[in-house]
Amino acid sequence: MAHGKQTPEPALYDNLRLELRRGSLTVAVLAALRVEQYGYTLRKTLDDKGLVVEEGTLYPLLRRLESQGLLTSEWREEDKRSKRFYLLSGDGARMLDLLLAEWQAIGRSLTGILSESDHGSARPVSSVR
Amino acid sequence: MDLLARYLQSVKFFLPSDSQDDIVRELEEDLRAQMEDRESELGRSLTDEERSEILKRHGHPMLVAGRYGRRQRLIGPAFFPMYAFVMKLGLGICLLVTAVLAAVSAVMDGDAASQFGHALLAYPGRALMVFAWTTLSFAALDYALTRWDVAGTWDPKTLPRLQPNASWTSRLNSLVELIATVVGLGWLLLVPKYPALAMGPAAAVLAPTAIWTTMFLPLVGLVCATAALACANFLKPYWTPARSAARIAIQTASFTIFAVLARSGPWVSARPDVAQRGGASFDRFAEIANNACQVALAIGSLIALVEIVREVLRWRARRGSPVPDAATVSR
Repeated sequence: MAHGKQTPEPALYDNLRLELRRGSLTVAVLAALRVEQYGYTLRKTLDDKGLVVEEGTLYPLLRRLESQGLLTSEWREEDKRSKRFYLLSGDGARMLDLLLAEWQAIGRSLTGILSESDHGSARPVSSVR
Repeated sequence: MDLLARYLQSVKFFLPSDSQDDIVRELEEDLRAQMEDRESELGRSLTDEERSEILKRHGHPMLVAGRYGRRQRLIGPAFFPMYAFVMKLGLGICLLVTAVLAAVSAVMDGDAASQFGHALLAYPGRALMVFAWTTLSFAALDYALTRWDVAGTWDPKTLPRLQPNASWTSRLNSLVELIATVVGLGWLLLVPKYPALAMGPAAAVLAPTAIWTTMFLPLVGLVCATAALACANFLKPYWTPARSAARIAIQTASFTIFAVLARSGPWVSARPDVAQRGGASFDRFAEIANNACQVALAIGSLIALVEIVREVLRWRARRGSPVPDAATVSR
């Protein structure tokens, strides 16, 4: 379908992009919560850094990460309004280190694969062996 | 803010009861913050239309609540292909069984077309049962394997041995054979009560002789053995010497049964009550039917004999086939 210079199907691109972002989002949320924030500001922080997240995705993710012990949360008054603040837990910090190491390893592998492909662009598998 | 309260109430309805207040409180805070930010941008209060737009962008209450569910799926992607296959198979077999039962019902009762149509109406109910039980079984299987990691404890050493390429048997053929033998078994079990299933309208004047009572159990055993072999071939669709031996044994038993039957005529006789009324004309009718039985049994014996020879030849051919290595299998 998407051979040569044809534009890939937008729906397929959206699906693959979503899959690619799903894992990264967890890492981004854990990293952003090294500083205590509540849901709305967290979403704005991620948005400002170019990672747009829907509320319907972010809040269930926060609850899941909290139930897994990676975040802690507490309700507190701020600007006369009650807000739920999230912060990375000790386990969360250790998990973030592991995930970041994995993230960097994936990045290095991908860079290696891409540079290899650039040197011998679009060779059939049999000739690569 | 009436719209916001109505929205949150709708979301709450679909949330798990133990956490719904907490989730709704957080959602409310987020939506209020969004609305206030928008008001700050515009420098005025939002209209109902603008509030509605924010809620619409947030998502349908059922979908928003659904994302908080602990279990997001009934049957996961690992089991879905098998589930779809079993479902199609189950619904197909159910249709076939219903059609056969409808045909039997049409033959048994007078008004054939109406009886057939009436019996077919049972299909939706049966299909629904197949659907429900298949879905429940796979959901339970998916839950169990996810919870107890059964899939992680499998032993690669239990995988079937490599088979020569010539050894694979057709699953479709095995399935057709299985369905045919199960239907045949049902037919065979019904014949003693409804002789018309075997003799048609002639059952009104003819009756089977005692030899059929003697040979009934061996015939039932033969059909059961054929069904069991078809089932084994369907589940593990490759040839083994044991299965070939089983097929030869079944065909030998078929040949023996046909041969015994062929030597034990007559196979039908005029019913005593009818014979007294009709005299010689019914005896002549029985004679014609017995001649037909003799020919049919001779053909049956011959087919069994041909099948024995074919299976022996197949056995010899397959025994010499080379076993592929890993590289051949992956090609």
